[in-house]
Amino acid sequence: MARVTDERTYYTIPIGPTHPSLKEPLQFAFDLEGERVVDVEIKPGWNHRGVEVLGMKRNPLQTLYLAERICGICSVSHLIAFSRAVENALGIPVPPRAEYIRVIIAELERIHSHILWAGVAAHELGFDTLLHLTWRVREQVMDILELLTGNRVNYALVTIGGVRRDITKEQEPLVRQALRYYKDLLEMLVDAFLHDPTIELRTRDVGVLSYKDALELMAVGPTARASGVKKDIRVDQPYLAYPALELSPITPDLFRPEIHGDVYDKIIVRLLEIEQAIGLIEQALAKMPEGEIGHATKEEMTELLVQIKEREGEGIGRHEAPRGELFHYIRFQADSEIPILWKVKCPTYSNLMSYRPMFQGAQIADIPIIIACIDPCIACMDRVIVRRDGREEVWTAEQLLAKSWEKTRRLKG
Amino acid sequence: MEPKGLVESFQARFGQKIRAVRIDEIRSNLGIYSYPVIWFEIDREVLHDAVAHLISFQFPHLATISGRDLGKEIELTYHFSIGYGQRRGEQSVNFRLRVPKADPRVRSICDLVPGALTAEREKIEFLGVQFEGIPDSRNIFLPYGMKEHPWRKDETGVKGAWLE
Repeated sequence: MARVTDERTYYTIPIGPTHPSLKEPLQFAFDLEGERVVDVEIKPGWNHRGVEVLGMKRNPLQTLYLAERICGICSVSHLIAFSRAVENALGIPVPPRAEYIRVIIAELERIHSHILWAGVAAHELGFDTLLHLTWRVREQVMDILELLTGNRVNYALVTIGGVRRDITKEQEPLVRQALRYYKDLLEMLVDAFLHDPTIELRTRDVGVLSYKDALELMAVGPTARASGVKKDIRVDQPYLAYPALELSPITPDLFRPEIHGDVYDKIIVRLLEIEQAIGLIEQALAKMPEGEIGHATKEEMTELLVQIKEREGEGIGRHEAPRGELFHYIRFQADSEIPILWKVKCPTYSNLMSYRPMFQGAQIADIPIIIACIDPCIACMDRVIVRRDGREEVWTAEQLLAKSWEKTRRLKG
Repeated sequence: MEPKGLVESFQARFGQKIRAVRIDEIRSNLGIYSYPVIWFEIDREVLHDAVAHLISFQFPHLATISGRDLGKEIELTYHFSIGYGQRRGEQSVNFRLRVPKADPRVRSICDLVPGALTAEREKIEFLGVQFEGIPDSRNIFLPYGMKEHPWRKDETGVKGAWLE
């Protein structure tokens, strides 16, 4: 697989691990034959922070704040998966109303994450007007998240055994209004992304992941579904309030006759999932019962901590995050509130191996959009190493983007 | 497939090599649904065959492998699930096994489940487990050439300054 040896280490990091927008910088080393990518070598871990070890030194109520900060974009996803792991391990019940509120926030997060991704994809292809348009319309859902939780990111809403804030009667009409806004907008987004001849030329049959590869390489989320692998935890093993809601996995054949597993299919899946998320929030608002939302008083919190300390057990918390399966595993021993094991697995960890078949045979100009197409948890690609004729060159993100944009311009004529 | 039937099928195939089994029923807080989570404790030599047996039901999904240092041994848990693609059909199947630190070998499952490579490479670097037959055993999240195993609690683990 690799032509990189243990002795060869890359330290050419122009932006580096402390760049505020990066959670997990990735390094790609491409083997080229002319303009074609023959193979790719991927090295993650440039910003591995050992979060799991930190979580094994704290009680779960303290770790909530740490878990939420593993990722900024899918911050509620980590809290849902982490809280479910603890609740499943120790048998802590959650009031039904809180389960509905969790679904509403999780689906709002899916809307903002998918729109954010659509903007990034447009930028990689050289459609900056579309980037600015999508990020402009994303503000509406950010405002709603701020209204409901008090913050645009890191909402601190979900806690063990429930949620910390209720959705009031006054807030509901504003959420519905935002949903109507996105419903009206969807047609325009679908038209801009899926009926644009240049975007079609740039994304059809590019970055193809076959059904077999997606299945065997453990792809998750939209990356898997775009290749026809119907994995969606909300349907397969429903949790929160999902068992009471109507939904089925989104695959590209809902939009076009055949599944190709290319970048175009990944755009289809994400855009249709925005529509699905709107529907799920509407259902949740309609079905949400009145009642408790979780532990509210100091006495109740103390009681919860005592339960965590006294009980023992192990539990898995899985959540269908915007990018795919998010997995938390936690294990407690009796007489200690500090877990003896905490393992976090994010969607990009699972999708990493799918990059290789997607890149093989691609052009250099397609590298940016293929990197973006799995919606990796790294927002920007700050360096790429290219090996051609035995020589090694480092390409910056700007050089690669320029190449991608040049290809779009060429195709537009 | 019903979890009980699945467990019986494994017990019939592997007998005493399956040391313990537990089925957790995770109930929805809405009270309308529950799903099974199966925990197998197995001998390390049957892991490869157990995964092959699981594949005979459906090609499984592997979330990850978790692991911890028990002192003289290392414990690994493979978190699989089968039944995806079917509404309310998915059940979690976990295989737990122990390897002695003096001989931390376990057979790689990458020939059966190619997507297990990332999880196995992570266990090599973080816990010092050796996977026999793994196609690529280099570090993945840690720098190439780093010899310490951060999840080990013995002298091969990382020292104070790393954890501050």
